[in-house]
Amino acid sequence: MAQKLELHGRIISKGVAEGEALVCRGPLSFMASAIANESGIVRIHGHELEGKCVKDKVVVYDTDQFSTGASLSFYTKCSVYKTGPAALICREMHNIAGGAAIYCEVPAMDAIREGTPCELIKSGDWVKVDAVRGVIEVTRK
Amino acid sequence: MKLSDEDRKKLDGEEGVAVREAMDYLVKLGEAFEAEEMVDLHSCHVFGDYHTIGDGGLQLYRKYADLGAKVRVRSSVEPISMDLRLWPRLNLPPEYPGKQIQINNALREMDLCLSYSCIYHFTQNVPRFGENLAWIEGNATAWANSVTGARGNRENSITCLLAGIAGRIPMHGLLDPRKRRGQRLVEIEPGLVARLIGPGRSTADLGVLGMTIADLGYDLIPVVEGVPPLLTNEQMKAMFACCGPVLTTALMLLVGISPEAPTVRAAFGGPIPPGTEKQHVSMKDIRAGYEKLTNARKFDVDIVSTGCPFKTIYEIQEAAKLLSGKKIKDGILFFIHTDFTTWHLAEEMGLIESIEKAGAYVTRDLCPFSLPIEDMYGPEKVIATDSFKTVRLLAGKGKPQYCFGTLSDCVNAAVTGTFVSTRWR
Repeated sequence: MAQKLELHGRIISKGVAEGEALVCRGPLSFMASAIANESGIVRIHGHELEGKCVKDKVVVYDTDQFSTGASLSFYTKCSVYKTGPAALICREMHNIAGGAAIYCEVPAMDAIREGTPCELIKSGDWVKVDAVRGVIEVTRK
Repeated sequence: MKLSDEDRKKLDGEEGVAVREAMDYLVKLGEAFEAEEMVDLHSCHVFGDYHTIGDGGLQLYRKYADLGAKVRVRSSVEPISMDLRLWPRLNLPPEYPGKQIQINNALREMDLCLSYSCIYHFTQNVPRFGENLAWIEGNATAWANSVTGARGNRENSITCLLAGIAGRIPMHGLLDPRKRRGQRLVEIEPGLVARLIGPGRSTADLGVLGMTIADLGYDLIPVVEGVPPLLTNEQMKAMFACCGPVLTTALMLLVGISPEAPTVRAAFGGPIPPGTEKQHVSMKDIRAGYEKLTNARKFDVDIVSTGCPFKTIYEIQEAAKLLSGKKIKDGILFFIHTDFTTWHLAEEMGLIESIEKAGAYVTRDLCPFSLPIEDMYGPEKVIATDSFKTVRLLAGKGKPQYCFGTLSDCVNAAVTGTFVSTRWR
């Protein structure tokens, strides 16, 4: 039977969603030049997620670096191209992604009580984010 | 979160659908980020370029313009994805001008001041101590927080418009005076900053200084010792360019300069808390920063780009002097970026004619960030720049190659065709 893990944290954007985890240790940005709006593919040169796609994933990262324009890029991904993530989990949510998630109704959480999210969740894990109860359920790959 | 009677009326829709939607979003944002109350907003600054905001951003702006929304505070707009004068000569994707004009129209209808600038804090949207800001531009917000004591986060591009429409903002992050205390101490080697200031190189050197401070702890507010009190606006601007591409907060407490940091003790709100990290910056770090920023595999330059953040009139004067009597090599594009307010001043002062005579362009309204560089240029092109922000902010675009150096070295590269760094000889 697959190993399960339950995590708890602060709710930034309410909602429930699940998907495959895409995890990086460092900061990330959803701005158009960092993650292409049309494809959802990360194109930050040398980034640990370069070439990976965020579409429908539960994206786990540290916090938002680069541009505040990422919020409208995030909105374009979700509303026009349907390349947005299923949910967001950050060590510390920046208002850049947090506000975008709220506006786009994408569930988002941070400040995970059990530890640093990028150490608790691995890429490929199946993650259910219940940002109504504040609970994250991780099923190991 | 505490709401006033006026806030509740706005939430109930008494001031229309746009204000209701804006307030609804702002309340959710405030609750998420644990703001205790909503406060009056004094100024907003919003994104404007099609490249960043995309069709979603255009639809969002159009929606609020159609709802009759107006911003009710002092305002300004970031650079856009076209030069209203020069664009036919730029290799812009065909849909860009049309989309950009639609964005401009929506912003105009909402009463935004159409500054198309990232240095609006020197002109149309000057901050004052204690004001609450909703600004998307990092370098300007860092300036406002650190030099004037106005209060603002690196606020997101949805919030800035909606807060402007509602005239209110949740008091989260740096908007809360209690959250404006230092979180680490940075000691700059005595005398270092004075050695970073010089004709033709201040922008590059001080940009690297800011980047170095930011890289030492990107999400922690630095208390910085060792910045002389009377740097010029341009020198400060170069240092604050780190806010955004590297620093995720927007406050640098410069001891002896920032109103909230007359002393180190004041900057920390008391004695330095135990466990606070002490960091040092020396000339060795500046040199290492230069080396990290050059990733070109060849040094024959195709493009020279300067003015991220935009050039002030005095920096355009400096560029004109460096270009005087010189000729840019055929095939090399040399861009000096500024806003149209400054451009017209430069024209009146004869600087545009002088710079164009050398074969360079002074662009208006647009910047490298607002252009699809990956499509316009491609990864084989080599860009020389004195803007660390250009290198770090555009690092994801089509893997361009950068030569980082002083403005003097960038001018020489444009004249000879080959970039040679003379800074560390």
